[in-house]
Amino acid sequence: MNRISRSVTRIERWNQPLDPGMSAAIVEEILGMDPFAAMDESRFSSQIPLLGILANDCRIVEFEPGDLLMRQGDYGGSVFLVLEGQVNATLQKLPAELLGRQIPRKKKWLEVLKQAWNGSAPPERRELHGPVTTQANGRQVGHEGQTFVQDIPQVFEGLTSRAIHPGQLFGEVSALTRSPRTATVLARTSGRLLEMRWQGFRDLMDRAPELRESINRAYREHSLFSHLAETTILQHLTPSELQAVAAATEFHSFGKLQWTGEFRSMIQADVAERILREPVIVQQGDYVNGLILIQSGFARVTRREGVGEQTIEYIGKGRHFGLREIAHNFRTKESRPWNLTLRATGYTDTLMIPTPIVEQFVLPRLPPELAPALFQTKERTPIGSASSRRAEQRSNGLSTKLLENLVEHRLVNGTQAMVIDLNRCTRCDDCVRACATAHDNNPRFVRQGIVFDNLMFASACMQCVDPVCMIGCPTGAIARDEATGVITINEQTCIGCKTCANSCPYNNIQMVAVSDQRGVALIDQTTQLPILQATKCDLCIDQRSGPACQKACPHDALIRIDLSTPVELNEWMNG
Amino acid sequence: MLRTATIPRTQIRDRRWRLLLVAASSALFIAIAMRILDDNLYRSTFVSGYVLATAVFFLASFNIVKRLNFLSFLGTASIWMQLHIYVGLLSGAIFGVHVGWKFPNGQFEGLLAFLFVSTFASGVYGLIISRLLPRKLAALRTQIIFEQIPVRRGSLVAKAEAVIDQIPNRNDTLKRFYINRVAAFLMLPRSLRFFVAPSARESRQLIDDLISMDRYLSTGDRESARQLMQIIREKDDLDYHWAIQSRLKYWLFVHLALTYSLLICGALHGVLVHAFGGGLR
Amino acid sequence: MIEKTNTVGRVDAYQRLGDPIPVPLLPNGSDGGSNPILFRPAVRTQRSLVVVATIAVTLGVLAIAFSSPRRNEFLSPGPLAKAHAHLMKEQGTERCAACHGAGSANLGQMIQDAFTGGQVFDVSQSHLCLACHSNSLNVDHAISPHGANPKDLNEMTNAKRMALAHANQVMPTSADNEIACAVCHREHQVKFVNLTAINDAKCQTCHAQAYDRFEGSHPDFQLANHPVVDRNIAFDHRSHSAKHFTEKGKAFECGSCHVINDSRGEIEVASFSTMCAECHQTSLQESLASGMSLIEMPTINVQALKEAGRLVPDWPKDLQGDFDGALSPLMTLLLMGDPAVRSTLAEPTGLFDFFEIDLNDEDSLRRSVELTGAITRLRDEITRNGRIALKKRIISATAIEISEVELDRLFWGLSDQQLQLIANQPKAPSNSMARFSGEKDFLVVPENLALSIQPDELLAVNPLNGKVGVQPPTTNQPNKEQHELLRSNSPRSAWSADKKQQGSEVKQAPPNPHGELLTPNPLSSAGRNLDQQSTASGLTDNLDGTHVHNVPPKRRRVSEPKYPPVVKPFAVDRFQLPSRRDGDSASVGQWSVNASPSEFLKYIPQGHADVVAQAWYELAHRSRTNTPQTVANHLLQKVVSAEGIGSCSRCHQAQRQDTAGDLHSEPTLSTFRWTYKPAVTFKSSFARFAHGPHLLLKDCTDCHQLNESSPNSHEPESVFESQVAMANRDFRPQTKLDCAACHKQGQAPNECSHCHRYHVGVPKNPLSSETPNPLGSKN
Repeated sequence: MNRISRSVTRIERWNQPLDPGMSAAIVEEILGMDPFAAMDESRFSSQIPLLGILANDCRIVEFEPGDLLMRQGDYGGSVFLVLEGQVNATLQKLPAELLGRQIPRKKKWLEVLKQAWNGSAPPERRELHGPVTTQANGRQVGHEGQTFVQDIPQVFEGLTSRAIHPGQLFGEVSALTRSPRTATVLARTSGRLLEMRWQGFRDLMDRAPELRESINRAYREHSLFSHLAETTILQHLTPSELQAVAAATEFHSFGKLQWTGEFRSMIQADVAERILREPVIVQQGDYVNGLILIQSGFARVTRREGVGEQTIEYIGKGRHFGLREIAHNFRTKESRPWNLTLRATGYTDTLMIPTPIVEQFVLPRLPPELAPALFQTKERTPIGSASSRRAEQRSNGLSTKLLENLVEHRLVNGTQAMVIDLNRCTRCDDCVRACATAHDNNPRFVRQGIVFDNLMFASACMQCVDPVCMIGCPTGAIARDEATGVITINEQTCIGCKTCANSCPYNNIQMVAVSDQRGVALIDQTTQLPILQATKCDLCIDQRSGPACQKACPHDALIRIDLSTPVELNEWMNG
Repeated sequence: MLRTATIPRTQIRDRRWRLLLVAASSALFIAIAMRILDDNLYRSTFVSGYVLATAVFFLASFNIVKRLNFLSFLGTASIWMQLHIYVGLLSGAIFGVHVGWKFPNGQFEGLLAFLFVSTFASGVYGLIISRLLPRKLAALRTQIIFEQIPVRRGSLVAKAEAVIDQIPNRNDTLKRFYINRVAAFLMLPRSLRFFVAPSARESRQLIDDLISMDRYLSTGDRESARQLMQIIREKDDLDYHWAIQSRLKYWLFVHLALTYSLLICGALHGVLVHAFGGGLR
Repeated sequence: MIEKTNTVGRVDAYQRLGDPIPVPLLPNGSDGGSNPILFRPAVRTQRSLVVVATIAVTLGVLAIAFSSPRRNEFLSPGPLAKAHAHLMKEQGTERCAACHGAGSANLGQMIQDAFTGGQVFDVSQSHLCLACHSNSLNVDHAISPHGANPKDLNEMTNAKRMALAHANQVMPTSADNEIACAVCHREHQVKFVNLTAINDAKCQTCHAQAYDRFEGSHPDFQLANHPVVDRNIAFDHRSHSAKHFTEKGKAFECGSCHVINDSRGEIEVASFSTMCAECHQTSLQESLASGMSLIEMPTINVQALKEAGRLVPDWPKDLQGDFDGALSPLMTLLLMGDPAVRSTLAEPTGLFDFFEIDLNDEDSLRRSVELTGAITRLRDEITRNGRIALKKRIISATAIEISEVELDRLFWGLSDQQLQLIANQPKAPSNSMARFSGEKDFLVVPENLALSIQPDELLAVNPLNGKVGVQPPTTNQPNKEQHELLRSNSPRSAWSADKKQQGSEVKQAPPNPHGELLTPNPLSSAGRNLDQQSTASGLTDNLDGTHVHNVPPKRRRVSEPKYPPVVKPFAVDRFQLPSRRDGDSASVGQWSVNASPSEFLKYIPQGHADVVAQAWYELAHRSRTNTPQTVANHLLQKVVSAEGIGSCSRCHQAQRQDTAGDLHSEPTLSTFRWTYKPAVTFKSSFARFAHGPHLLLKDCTDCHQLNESSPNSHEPESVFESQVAMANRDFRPQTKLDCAACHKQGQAPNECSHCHRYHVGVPKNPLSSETPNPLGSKN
């Protein structure tokens, strides 16, 4: 386990306990329950005692029959342990409205025509069915909120669901791999849950072998195997070999799940310091201990340059790192250290296949076209030299400066980033107007943003690969549309809690005061405050013509582009 | 994933030449066709007139089509912009053929010709500046939305005031300089001359004077002076933005206004030539 | 300039860029910690305001201009051409309406018209054009192609159309298409525009056989019978240049005969006297000397006839004897006027000759008797009715209607008195001539008195007192016109008077005074030039010698009262000789009565352009065209043939109909034109040519080159010789090449419109020159 990330996380995590209200009594009570009762407290380090974990990283969630405890497709970092009562989990799709999702629909031709001419109408008009309050059936519970689902029997008609009994866990896989929840969990009876932060849960796993074993077994059997099978360089292995590789694979996480705050502070920091804040996955010059696979999130590949580091490229989900070193050492029998550094940008999950395993199973079966070139004499490339430009070739010809910025501002996260070529943009604001026309006369982006060279990365939702905003929406109003991958906010279920708006690292989610069809501002009866809702670019998912902004740009200046790999951007800039 | 293609930067130039070629050749074609018609005892002016009218109405419809770009089948605004540009250039040629490359010597037709020519000219001007000026803007330190400039000005003034206020009263050199010179620069709108040909001359003058004042200033005051300089530079950028962006916005006023009177007079012209055109009934 | 709200975008987006921006309050007065809303930028609003303002202003300006008195100036697309502008000046505000149906219409009507395809102003502009231009254009077909009748054009182009149809092509246009004037005549350009300019391409719109340029593939043409044909005067240029002129040692120059009439731009020829007389006068005289005898009396063997038991009319004593004397063609013609003998004469034995009468042959005896009777009858008729008789005879013989004028010309200068002399022919045949030769033109004798008049009485009516015969000569106060006559005639009359009084026999009288005295001069009153007189006198001189001798003085008393109350000289109005273009004057010959016992009446032409000869020629031609087969015609042709007075036909050619310069139609003998007919200048034809400009640069012979290669020249046998043949013989045919030598690209103009004219329709009323009011078409 990586010491840097440990030392960093320990301090921050317990500064803000998950639930300050966790009394010693409750902790004691839980401690008496399974599986904690079986744990050997002596195995826990003095810095992170079991009690501390329970006190800081856990809390009690009470539920009533029909409470929706976990939604399919949500992102979340919590693991749940059933203490009392019975909950049911189903892998089947539930109707969108049950999960509080937006039902994607295209506008009709007439509506499209109408919107073009009612530009003078008041903005952000809504027809909200029923009162929207922050209290889902009266109770706000937990880091992940609940919504009440009426008459469970009807909902569970024809649903194959698995009952989860006290003492059993759920949600651990997606918490550890930070992948969307695969199942929906409903409360069958009333009862209690123990919600654990994934960090705390990791510690538990470290210290409680039996827990780790069970978790790892489950994980390796299901997701890991399939994940490895998808990796290109492992595709030529037999299932048995793959099993062996999976058994040997270690998985590590770097950075915080909720990295927004970190990012904001970092972006204010000094340029040279920024990069150093990113957790190191592999250190240039260290011993090559294994092949790294990026499971989720992004990592940047850097090389020491002066006192700092020069970014050479960034790699995302499914990419691997270090094969070249291993192959070189394997063939030349040298023991060459890491040639480059690999750093986690934001939150990164990696899998590490130890070197011997790679040498034993992977390399022999590696087809020659995939085999990396041997290293020439010690590669050392100063900036601006021909070889450094060759190094840039690895990142598809984007300039280092651009690359640095893309990664530093986490723009690589975007799959539909709005990029404006300032050399052609006449500031005519047609894009803004088109957006306003498409969205209730209120543009969902600002023609303003980070600028490097002649490129402006405007403040429009990028539909991130790693949507931090989706973490912690109490009503599941914000969700990713499976068909298009667009992240939308459901006007009907958004309660204006600002969670998404605050957690968006790019400030691309805006809270707006909504009004009724006549344009009268809606006021909350109790608080007498205007009702707010989160708005963001939805890529005109309800329009028939794709993103209006790009379509409306008369000067070919604006483009929605996928930055998760440099390919498209490079293609756009260099033809 | 949704992705509608936008032309790669490196291909824009090629596209320009291709379309220019197309426009030029079609202009040539029209000219020849009219000549042939004329030689065949047809009234080619009527034909070219109708072609021209069609072109003009097409060009005028650009504004409406832009509104309707939600109709997927209408294609992107950039396509229509390209059409607008090259049909516009082509219409110039058609106009030339229509009037026989000489300015008509009737009063009304003179007016009409003037309207067309000036509309055409304003269009070309707009095309040129919307290709050249963005680069100037892009070269600036800051980017700002046109409508925000006044607010930014205000905030700059506020900043400056703050800087001045924190200067201890014993030394009022900087204050006086601010009141006499800087305040006006920060608050008053720039001259028309600056609008026509923006230059950093004024701000550089101010900054130089500020620097030359260092000898009267304490180290603390110097720090404030540096801040003032920064503010002055920002203000200068703002004004530059204002000059360029307003040019980019207001040329369209002229173009549009001319377009509408051109449409009206053109329609009247059409009615007149049909009523007066000496043909057979 | 910009409201605060516009400046607020995504507030915290800007805050991220480090700008503190005041957050405006929401309608309910609180900012709910929310982001204000981006309102539409005011720039847009300003823009729409500007647009609306512009529209308003434009409409306003147009409305004012449209309703202002200067509307026409405002709407006019440009100045009119000079001529039109001048006309329009008076029209004031109505002047647009002169050419435009919509001229004074209001905008509403114009719009309606534009959308109804011209239903409102149904009068087409072309018709308004014709309101003025009807004089120069055929109004009926003015807007048909070439302003010609489409029917004709279609006929002309039929062949072409067929050919194209065979090639599966279509005629580019049909003659039925109408072309508006404005298609070619484009007004409102500039003041000094050439409205009639037209380029070749326009012509070739319809003309399927398009060609690049004149010198190129323009259809070739050959002016085969150009230029000699149709000029009425056969002149062998080749023999004259090669033979006659060289023999005479003269230069053969075109200019000496062919002169340009600048006013008409036509080529004309000089007069006979200047061109031909020098060589041809004498030969002409000789050929004419034999003259043409009108009435002849054969010698009849009365005795033999009586013995043969025939009834013979009373026959002059001195014409009795052996049969002799042939009948002249003219005499025969007159006799044929007598139905009784027409059959006899019509027998195909040629002209009857009494010499061939066989006493033993019954038939020839019978014929002689008939003819003798006929001749007697003819003589009696003539003596009784004079010219009328002759007229009747000719008409009934030739079956050709003869007008009074023609009669006058046929028997020019022959008075009824002379004819009456035929009656008392036996007594003193000669002196009767002397009596009347001089003064006959001053006599008018009413027919009814013809018989009662005695020759001696006639004498009294002379220039001196003839006019005043009403009153006694002593008390004579002549009015003005008589005065002139007196003055002109008195000297020689006086002279002749005393000559006769002394009665001296002047064998060799000085020709001139006698000529003066004796020359029958119907033209003396219509003044003639002197040389003409001299030639005439030279001719009459010998005759008058015989006449003058033995004039019985006693016959000089006149019985006044027998005279009719009104006596009118016919020389003044009836005997006007046709005026001639070439400046020569007509001549008239000598009628001699009883020149010999057998010849009762005979005419001897005098020199060129003899009136009587011309008249008979024309008669002959009419008979040839009208009644070619008759014997009468045969006789007439004999009269005008070379052995008659026929030397005219050596030069004067029959004239074809005037075929509007179409050189390819066959000649037909309708009229007889004596004078030179100038080259057709193609007025109102497809092509035009003017000699004038060409002669400035070129010599005649550059284009008209004598044709050396053709067969030797020969005299034209008759009036009817093909002149085309002659022309081909004389001159090398002219082809396109002759013109294209100069008329080609970069040199002389070579466009269609240079030679061809578009408007060929002949105007309906070319004479009416007054231009109608341009607005006339409106009411």
